[in-house]
Amino acid sequence: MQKEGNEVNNLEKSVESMSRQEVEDLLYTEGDLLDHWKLDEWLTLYTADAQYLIPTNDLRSGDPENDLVYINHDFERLQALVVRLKDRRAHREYPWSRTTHLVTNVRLLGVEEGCLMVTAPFLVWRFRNKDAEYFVGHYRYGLKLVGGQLKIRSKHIVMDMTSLCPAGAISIIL
Amino acid sequence: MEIIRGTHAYAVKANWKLLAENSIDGYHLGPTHETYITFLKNQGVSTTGGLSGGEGKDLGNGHGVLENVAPWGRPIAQWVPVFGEASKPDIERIHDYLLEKFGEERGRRMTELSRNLLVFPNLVMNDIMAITVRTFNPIAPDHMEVTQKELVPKGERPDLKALRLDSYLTFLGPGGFASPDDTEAMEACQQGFQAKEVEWTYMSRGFHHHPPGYTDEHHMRAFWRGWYRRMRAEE
Repeated sequence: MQKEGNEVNNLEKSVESMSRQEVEDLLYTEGDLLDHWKLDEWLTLYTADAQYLIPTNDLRSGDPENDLVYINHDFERLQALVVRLKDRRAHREYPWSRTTHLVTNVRLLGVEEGCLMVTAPFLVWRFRNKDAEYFVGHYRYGLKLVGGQLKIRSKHIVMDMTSLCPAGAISIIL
Repeated sequence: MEIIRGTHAYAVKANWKLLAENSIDGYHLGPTHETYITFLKNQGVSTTGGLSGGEGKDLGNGHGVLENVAPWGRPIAQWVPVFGEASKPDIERIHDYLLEKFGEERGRRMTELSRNLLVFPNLVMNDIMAITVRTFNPIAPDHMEVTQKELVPKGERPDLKALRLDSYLTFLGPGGFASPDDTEAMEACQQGFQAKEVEWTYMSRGFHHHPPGYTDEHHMRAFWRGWYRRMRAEE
């Protein structure tokens, strides 16, 4: 009976009716999974047609088909990234660094092309081998309902720093 | 050719000369970038040959170049499965056109050989799975800042350009599947150099090879000799 109840509930769900709390739960879950390096579980938050994009610091509107960006992963590339990060020969992240993903000021911007658009400033800290690196900026998410589950269709990571320095790489998932 | 918009700007906590070495050294690919080789394999690229058939050259005045056959795809014009079947006929056509236009020898160098070029002291142009243009400046003896761009053919067809840009990102830059491990290697070396009992960097690979192979350090010694000559001139 419990199961039937859930199914009815899922059918009624739509991205339009998502509350900020439901969206925040997803974003906080993502940050927590990343901080604990539960990368396989993290992948399940993304849709099969996902895009994970990080433009450069000097061209925050960078279009990956015309401009140089830092990262433009589809779902397959995200899977390859997880394979790499779990490999002890990924030297920059072996051993894994300690990270803290802070996500705040979550705002729902309405639905565009079937995706609920969300913005949230972020601050990600990375510590390893006496290094302290920070990544600061705004996330822009496109969220979609897949089988009643809210999932990430797109994540654009727009940084506010004018260069990556003092960081030497984006070796973690932001 | 043109430089496109967007800049990779990052820092490495190591002496700037380590990036001059790293950018043109032909033997670190295996140990440093094993996860990238795994990535290529998982994409259906044959990596059994590894790097091969190349040569390191001293170009005089501290400049050096490494030229070799590499397993990755090249947007000009070496097709690999990851580029997708749809692009295969076009990339093969460009390959054949360049061989016809520039002749067998030069055409094959353009299309099939990868090239890591160091213009003394701190400009690198690597024509590998895409073309990167990199400069790096010391801000302290153990700290440098790197600025990196991408060079592309002007007016390239949009779908081929998109392939090229994607190919760049697989390996290159702070978010690639390879460059972060270069940063790690250079910083680890810099930490190792704190052991002051070791006074020298040893650079003798292929000292007596004629011509020098791609895993020899002939073209890297060219850089160090260029640097040493100028430093002595200052005294």
